[in-house]
Amino acid sequence: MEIHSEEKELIKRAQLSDAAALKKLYEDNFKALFKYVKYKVDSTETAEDIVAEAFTRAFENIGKFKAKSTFKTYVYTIARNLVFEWYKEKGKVTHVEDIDMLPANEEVESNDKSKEVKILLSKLPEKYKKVLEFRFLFSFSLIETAQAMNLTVANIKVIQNRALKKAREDLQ
Amino acid sequence: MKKENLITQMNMTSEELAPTKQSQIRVWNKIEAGLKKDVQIEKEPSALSKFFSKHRFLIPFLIAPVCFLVISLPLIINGNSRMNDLGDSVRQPEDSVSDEEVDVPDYFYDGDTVGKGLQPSTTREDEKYNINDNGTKEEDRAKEKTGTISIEVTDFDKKFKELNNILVEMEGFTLETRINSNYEKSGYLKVRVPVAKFDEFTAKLREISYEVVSEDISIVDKQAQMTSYEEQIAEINVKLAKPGLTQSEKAQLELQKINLQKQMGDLKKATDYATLTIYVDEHVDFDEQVSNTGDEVSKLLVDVVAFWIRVLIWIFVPVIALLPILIPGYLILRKFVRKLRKSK
Repeated sequence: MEIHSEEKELIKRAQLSDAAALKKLYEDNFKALFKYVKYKVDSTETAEDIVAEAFTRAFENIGKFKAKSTFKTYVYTIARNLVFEWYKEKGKVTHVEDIDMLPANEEVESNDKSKEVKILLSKLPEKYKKVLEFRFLFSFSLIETAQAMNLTVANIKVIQNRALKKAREDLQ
Repeated sequence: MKKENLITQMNMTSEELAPTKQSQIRVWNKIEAGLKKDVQIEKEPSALSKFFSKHRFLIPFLIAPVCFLVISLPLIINGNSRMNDLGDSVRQPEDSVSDEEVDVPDYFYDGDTVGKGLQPSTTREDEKYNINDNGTKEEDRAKEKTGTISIEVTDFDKKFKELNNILVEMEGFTLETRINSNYEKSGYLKVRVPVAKFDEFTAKLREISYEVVSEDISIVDKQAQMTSYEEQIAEINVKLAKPGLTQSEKAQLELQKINLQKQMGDLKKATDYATLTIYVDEHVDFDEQVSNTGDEVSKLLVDVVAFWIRVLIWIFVPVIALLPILIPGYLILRKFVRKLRKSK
């Protein structure tokens, strides 16, 4: 799964400490990452802190980044680990995989506007839920979703189709 | 909720999750502060550093030759310069003696007896000096050869014996010998060799020597003197053949003739055999010189250091030489042991 040549160029420049390239990478990926973190931690302030830390770590280690995956997937992996650490400090999770199950049904606030969606998603199998989250909540592309879930694009397409079918069946 | 509705709902939720512009700026400021505070961008380690971090055991093998070079190079350089210094000091007398400074013996200026005035000092290069004034062939001319050679030999006793053998072989003989056997053996030899074999003798002398320290050969042409004697004798013979000589006149002429013949005989002896003075010294290595001149403590120190350097070199040289075999051997063995462990 080749990443876009424009992003490759940006990464190369960023590896040479080009501030403009770093900012461009941030602007391109911030929104999706923020959505993911905010969705998981349900707090704008915490989300800002975690995303800032995730980008800082990503930029510090950009020299080691080989651009085999997209930059978004790279920062997502860091952000996911930071979310895990944040939850671990609270004693709510013990494994990084537990993060994917969050937010759980009981954690969904009654006044949350996205309550309905969260409840529906939590009823779906883990894989289906994750694909739908990546695709429609965090605005990840098929490639980015595939990389984040360590699957092929074809798999993601199939899973996405099945997940929507299952969600429709559940609704009916 | 229908399928379309779910996606619409999710999109709406996504919009709700989306950050504000201020939030984006705040996060960027935090990132900037974090980057400025902490670090420069960390670079990917090079392939070489990756290789060495994976194969740390190779590092000593690479350090060893470097250490060897670091240790041995100054020694080699220093050793050479010391040898050069020694060489210079040894060669110095030879270099410093110019033609003008050569000590010329008194008989060298015996020119008035031959009616030619002072003869110039001749060196080996001047041997072909053209004095063919009375038609005698160059090789037939009576020449008196004398010289001094100072040589250094490695094994004094052996070479001194060899020198005597050469002398016998060249049909020469010894006039005088003196040997000093202190720490450094040295000898002095005054020999006479047939003029015809003089060059061959000196060449052989050079062959057995470790180094020719100095060499000074003088050649004096005595042909004119010899001719003068011959002419005088011939004159006397003519006078003796004349009739009417008294007994006393005859006796006087006979006496003159005998004296001339004696002088001619002496001259012939001098020109038939060359006289050579040979100074033989035993060659001393630098280390031995140091030990000889230095006090006992420094000698001991030099010996100990030299010993350990030799030991180190003896260790390092085989290790370095065997590296191309040792490294692959070690790698193969390691792989084999790992496989064996896995199979167990």
